[in-house]
Amino acid sequence: MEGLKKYKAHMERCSRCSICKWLPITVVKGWRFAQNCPAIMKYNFHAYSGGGKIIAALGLLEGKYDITEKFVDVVYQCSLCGACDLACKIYTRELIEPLEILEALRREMFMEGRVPERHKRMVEDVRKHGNPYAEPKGRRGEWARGLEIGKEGKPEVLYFAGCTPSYRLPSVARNTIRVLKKAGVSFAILGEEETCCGSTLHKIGAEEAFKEQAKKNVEILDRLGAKVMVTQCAGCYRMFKVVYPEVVRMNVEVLHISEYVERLLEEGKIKFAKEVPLKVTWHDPCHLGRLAEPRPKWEGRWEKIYGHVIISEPRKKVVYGTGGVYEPPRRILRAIPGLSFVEMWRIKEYSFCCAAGGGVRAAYPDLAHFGARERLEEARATGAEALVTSCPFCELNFLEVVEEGGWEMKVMDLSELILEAMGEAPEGLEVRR
Amino acid sequence: MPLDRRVYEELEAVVGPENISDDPCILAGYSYYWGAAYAMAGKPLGKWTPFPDAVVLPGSAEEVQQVVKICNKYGVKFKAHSTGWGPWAAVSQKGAILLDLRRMNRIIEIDEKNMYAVVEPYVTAMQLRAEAMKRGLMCHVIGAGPNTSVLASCTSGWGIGATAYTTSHNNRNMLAVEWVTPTGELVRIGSPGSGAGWFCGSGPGPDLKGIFKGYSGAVGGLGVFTKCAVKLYPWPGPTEPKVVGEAPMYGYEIPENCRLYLALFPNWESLNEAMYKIADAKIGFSFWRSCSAECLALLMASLTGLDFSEVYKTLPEVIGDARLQIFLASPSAKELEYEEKVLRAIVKEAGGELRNVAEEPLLSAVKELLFAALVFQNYMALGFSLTGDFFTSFGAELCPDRAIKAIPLAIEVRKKYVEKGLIVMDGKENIWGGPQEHNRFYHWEAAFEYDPADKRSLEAAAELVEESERAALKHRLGVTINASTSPQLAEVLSPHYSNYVEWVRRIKRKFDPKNLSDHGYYVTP
Repeated sequence: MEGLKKYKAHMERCSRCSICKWLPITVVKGWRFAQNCPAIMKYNFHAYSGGGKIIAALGLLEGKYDITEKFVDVVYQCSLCGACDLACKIYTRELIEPLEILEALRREMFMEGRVPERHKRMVEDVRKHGNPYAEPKGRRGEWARGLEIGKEGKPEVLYFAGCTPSYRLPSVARNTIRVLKKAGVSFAILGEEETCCGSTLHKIGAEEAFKEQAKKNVEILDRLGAKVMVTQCAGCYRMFKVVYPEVVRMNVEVLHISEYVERLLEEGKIKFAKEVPLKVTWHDPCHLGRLAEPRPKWEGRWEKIYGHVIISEPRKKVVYGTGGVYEPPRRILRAIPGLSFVEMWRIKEYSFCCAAGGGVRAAYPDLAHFGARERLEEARATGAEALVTSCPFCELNFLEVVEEGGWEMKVMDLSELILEAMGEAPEGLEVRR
Repeated sequence: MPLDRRVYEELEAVVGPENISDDPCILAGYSYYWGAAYAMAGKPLGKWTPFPDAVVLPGSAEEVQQVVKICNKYGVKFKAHSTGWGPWAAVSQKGAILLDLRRMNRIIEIDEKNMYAVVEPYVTAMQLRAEAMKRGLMCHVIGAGPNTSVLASCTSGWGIGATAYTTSHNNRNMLAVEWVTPTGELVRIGSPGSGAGWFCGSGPGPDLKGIFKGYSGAVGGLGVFTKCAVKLYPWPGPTEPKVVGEAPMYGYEIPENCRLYLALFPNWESLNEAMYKIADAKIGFSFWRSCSAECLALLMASLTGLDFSEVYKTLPEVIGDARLQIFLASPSAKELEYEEKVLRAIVKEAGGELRNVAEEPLLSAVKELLFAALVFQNYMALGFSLTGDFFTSFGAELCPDRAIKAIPLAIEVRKKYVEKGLIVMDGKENIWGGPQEHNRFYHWEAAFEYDPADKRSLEAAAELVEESERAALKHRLGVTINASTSPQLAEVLSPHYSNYVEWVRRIKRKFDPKNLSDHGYYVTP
């Protein structure tokens, strides 16, 4: 647990206030939808909260107990969504850094082989097949069949589809490509050459395997000489935009599809001509939202001022998650004629995680579905007919729950609405198994 | 020590396998708290407390009752725990189980007409407040902050906060209560005891409030409280305050019918003099003092990223020592104008000065934040942002002229600790408190921050608490806040205050003959 030891002083500063379980206090608007963490909501024991995991890890570091099966579950029944990190930092700024601690804990757990079996297989699958679904590499580009993607000349944009659209939700990639085509954008796709961005590996603590993926992807981008890379996958976006620069040199501008479409709207290349009479709400994916704010590397020391006030020197920039991609999708939705947009209670940097990420859906699907149900209930409470988002992994999770029945709630990818507003008939979300 | 398997299995049969655990990583979550310097309950210095043998998560009063009966059957000690912030939320000794009441989190009822709410243990003040405000009502929020259980401060501990002038404090806001006694009986205190609803704690039906609550509650030492009715108050402010700003500086827009002032007085006596007149004039919603100017400066710099030295130097000059933050909220503009006029005249007469926060150069930029922080107490946990820990001293409920005597004493006691660099340089005092129930009594508490990871600072903090307690006793400044969770301190104070511990002890013995409800923070039986 060497990698965790450097955080011991941070861990010891937890006061067990339990604020990590809630939205920032000032934005709480009622009894319902005030909690921020799917894991503590489902399992209830304090250990499942952000602070609880820190205390559990501190007990381990201090030799009070060894890693048990329950400890593995506690650590991995968490999507590492960062909601606890925001709630805590409002009060503790850089003193604790919950998310950094939880990530370090997972790296240590992975190195000791104390991870769910499913996660071990996932690492093998990504290394062998280039995706965590163990699907053949050769089928990666099948989603684009029949779309007539031109290969002449040097494209303006490289489109990165991601594993989930490639193998599970092809309509997401197809709709996105149709948006680009209709806007007259010159673009390329990677097809069979595309490989996993490594988001899941990063989240489960498989640091070396993640770095291998990062290097592979950056080599491809460099070889193609792409200047702009666009993706609609929130997970891929975060990796390329925020995490890769922490480990490799990036030479490409990374844009989420909502950012790129907004640019195309401003340039007049996209026009929303058709009315879309639908009441929708927007789910901020964690990877596009609070986790998409870059974390500047800090190297400094801790000092005491005014007796015992502890501060970082130079002052460490506190990342609250407010620098995510929040407004572009909202501006797009508001620009669609006939569309009515309503907000949920848990939005932007304090959005509620659907609980699919961080390896949860693979190893603990019941927790992932619990999170999705909770979010769908929030969407339903707004009176919206559709829950719109731009994370295929969230969409997959929501769709699995909606398929259980009893929900009169449509789950939509942002590209569907964009395409429809552009006068084209989009393909609906359908899970390919 | 592992729990006997028979006991574990019987408990498991009550709550279900997913709601019980004796895994050490689960137990650890209930054994680590702030207050490392809090040594007065026989607890060693440090943040770890004893691990419980198991944790159960009952989902109803009936399940709580069954768990308590099993504990009685096998002679197992137990402790109830709600939002759990502070060492007194822990089991005090090995060999006990902990009941985490987190699953009991419903607001059962809000009776608008009769202005009360019925809540389960895990309803937090921020949730109840938001629901009450939608109905033009307000609940009292204790000084620990809105992330704490409403029921816990009503039934089992203390509960004083920034709006106490109007909303009293939770010792007195408690109405009817549902109680699982230490022997496992389910008792409904007050009006529900005779099926008459939850409006009253004193009847028609049994009134045992004096038994289980008394002055400050049993802190989990006398059974488990499973429902509680709490008084609500008219709220003239917004039904849903408008949130402005982004993390970490979320605030509330100050509406037209609300104003936030700082009243600066030449000394504490003139502050008292003004408060008597203000109470006579029947104006104002809340009057409070959050902390010393130096502490506020450090907290503001910490939160906003402003330069520490600049704020630390400037703010004390601007806001001074003898100060109250005053919140006016009136249903009509005319009434607000009247209240402001009266307030201004009274403060002036007392030699003070009234400053509107919205117009103060150093403060206006963060007025929304200050509104959320000073009136709503949404930033109380910032107390941990400087060093990771703090503690408190003095703080008894006394009449205004008596209570104020704690302030010079606190200044005198803490002086050498600041000078030696053992605690944070947060001014010559760091007094927190103010008038309650329209000035009937006051609460002045002396807080300080220290570094729990620094042995010298930690030991000094413990010494400072003890020294403050001795000073409070010497000057007869009442039963202090720390005495409500420390049987050892209560034993010291008791002979000077009608031997109250003897009576508490008799109650404990009578209601808990096997001494199973963890007495560690209540009374030595």
